[in-house]
Amino acid sequence: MKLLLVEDDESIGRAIHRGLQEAGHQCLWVKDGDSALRQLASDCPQAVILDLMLPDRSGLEVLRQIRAIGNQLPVLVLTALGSVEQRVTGLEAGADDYLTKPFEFVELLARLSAICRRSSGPVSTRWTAGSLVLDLTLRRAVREGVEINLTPTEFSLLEYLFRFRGQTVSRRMLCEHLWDASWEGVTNVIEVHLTRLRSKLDRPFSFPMLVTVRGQGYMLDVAENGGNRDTAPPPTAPGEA
Amino acid sequence: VATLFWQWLTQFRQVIAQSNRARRSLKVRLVLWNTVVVAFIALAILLIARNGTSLLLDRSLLRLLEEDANEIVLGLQSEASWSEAQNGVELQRKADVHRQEQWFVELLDREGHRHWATDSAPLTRSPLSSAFREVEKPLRQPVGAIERVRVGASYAPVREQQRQLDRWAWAVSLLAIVAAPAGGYWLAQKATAPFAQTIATARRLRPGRLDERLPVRGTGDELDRLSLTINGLLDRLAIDVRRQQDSLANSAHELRSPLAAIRATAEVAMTAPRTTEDYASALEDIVGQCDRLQSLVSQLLLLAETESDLTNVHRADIDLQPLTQSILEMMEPLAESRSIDLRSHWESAFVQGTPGHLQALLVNLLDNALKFTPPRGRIEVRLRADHQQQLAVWEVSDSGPGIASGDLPNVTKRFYRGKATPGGSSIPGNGLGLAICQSIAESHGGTLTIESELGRGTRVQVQLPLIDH
Repeated sequence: MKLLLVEDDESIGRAIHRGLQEAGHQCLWVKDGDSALRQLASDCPQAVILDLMLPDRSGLEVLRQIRAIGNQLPVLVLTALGSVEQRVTGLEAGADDYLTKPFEFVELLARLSAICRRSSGPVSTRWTAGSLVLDLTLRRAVREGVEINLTPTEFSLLEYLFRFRGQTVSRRMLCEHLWDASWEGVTNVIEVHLTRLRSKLDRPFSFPMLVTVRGQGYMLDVAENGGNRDTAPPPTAPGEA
Repeated sequence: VATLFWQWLTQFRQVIAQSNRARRSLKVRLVLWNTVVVAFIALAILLIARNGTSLLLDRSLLRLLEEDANEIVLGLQSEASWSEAQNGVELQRKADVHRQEQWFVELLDREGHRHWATDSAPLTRSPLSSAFREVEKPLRQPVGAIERVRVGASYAPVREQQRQLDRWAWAVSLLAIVAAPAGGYWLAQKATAPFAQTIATARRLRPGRLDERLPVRGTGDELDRLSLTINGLLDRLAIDVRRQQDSLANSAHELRSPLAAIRATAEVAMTAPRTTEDYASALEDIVGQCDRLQSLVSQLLLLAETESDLTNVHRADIDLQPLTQSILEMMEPLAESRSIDLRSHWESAFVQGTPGHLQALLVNLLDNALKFTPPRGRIEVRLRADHQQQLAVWEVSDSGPGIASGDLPNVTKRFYRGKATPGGSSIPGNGLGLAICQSIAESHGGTLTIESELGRGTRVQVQLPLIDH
């Protein structure tokens, strides 16, 4: 994917730039708002990662300018300011998602691919991927035709993992998802719930879908050859249609 | 002429502006009001006294004349006929005695014409009304041609007395008008003098120098009460400022240890060539320390957020019941994995608050309880709505080791960590959890109280203002 990274901090910029390239993306890195707008016009990237505090103009201004010319490409905003108001301001200015510094790199990747996918397909309340079906209205999960009995928390975790399927999801992301705010509760809680979820989702079936990625987090991989997770995940977007 | 007039107008305006500024001073206002009130009261009293006295003088003159008239009527009635030689001489003698007051008697016939009169009687009647007071009495039976008696006297002596009274009244009024501002100034001076010291002290106060207090003179008056109130505020401010300063220093210290760990790990990793596995493990350590830093920073931010009123923007009416229920549902498996008996009772209780913060409050309390309760212990969570006292009460009690009574007042202080319990390992966490809980409870207008008994367990109670829903 062709990405534009707008970040003035040398260290963060270098790390993200390198990380994105190693994840197989084509990434262009600029350090101020003016060059960002120039690159947008000439290069046509598929998504933008935008820092809000730039030397020449605020990231919000750049974002408004992008939206003002009718460009609907996905924008992921990065900022050190994480209060609810600031988050709301960012989203109102047209950001697709919002990531507070410091963040985990896996989270950046996961959110990036999520906003790219979101902008391409309509939203449905019935998600299918491989043999797994989630019904968001009835809060029901079915694998290989067998209904899996889940508690609300377990379903909520599975729903989140499903949204980022094929991507590593960190414990912190799951934590924030469960607690609805950036409150970091006891991470043990996540582990306990995931263990239970795994025993219900994987144990009765032929292969595990819920995979632990050592030192990074968890991943939902619905394909049978799921062990091979270093390659790019198979395109699963049609499942949402 | 126009320029002159314009200059004069400008000067006049300046004077008015100055007097406007001066009028704002409490002292000037006191003097003005005092003058107005005293002058008004003095004038009113004098006016009433003067008019009252005149009225009395006039009445007593009339009464005297009436008595005289009655006496003459009785005298005439007892005689068969009028004899000028006898009665007339007698009346004339009386008139001579009271010549100064121009006392006179007139005897009138049926038509009201004068039949006889003392020589003091005025010749014409036209100006009589204002210069004389007179009384007329009819005879029951005419004595010769005489049918009526008129007795009168000059009004001039009364007038003279009135004028004298007026002079006194003016003198006293003038004195009052002159004395009132002076007295007012003295009073105002006396009343406002203590303010000067208060103002001087207050001017010296700075956020960094909050040790001074406003003077309290011990009279118990309004100014003393004001000083005491402000001193109370200063006490609370000083405590708060001190706490903020301590907290800032503590935060910086707490940030140091993960930073030191990161630095040491990275530097040691670089001192010699190592295997890829070694580097990977060093980097994992560093990420772990970053997690510590990160959670510390977000907890500090949460604390700052709950302490500022900014969060009020997101207040909503929340039922604590579903919130409690979902948190318990989330924590239940953790309790089960440690064989802890987690029990709960709840009812609907609405409060006004920030959902994220209230959630953090209960999660923190439960986290603490789970952290300290040994396997096969018991934790009880209770939510009830006390409609009588208008309180929503959250209670988390555990069967943990309890908190030593010496530690109890300190556990809600930031970065305070109790000593390791006998037989237990060191206490995990950064010592912010309960400080955050208390701050959240207080920012919602509530309280957090902790009761504990060593070896028996701990009970934390959060009371929040209940709202009707």
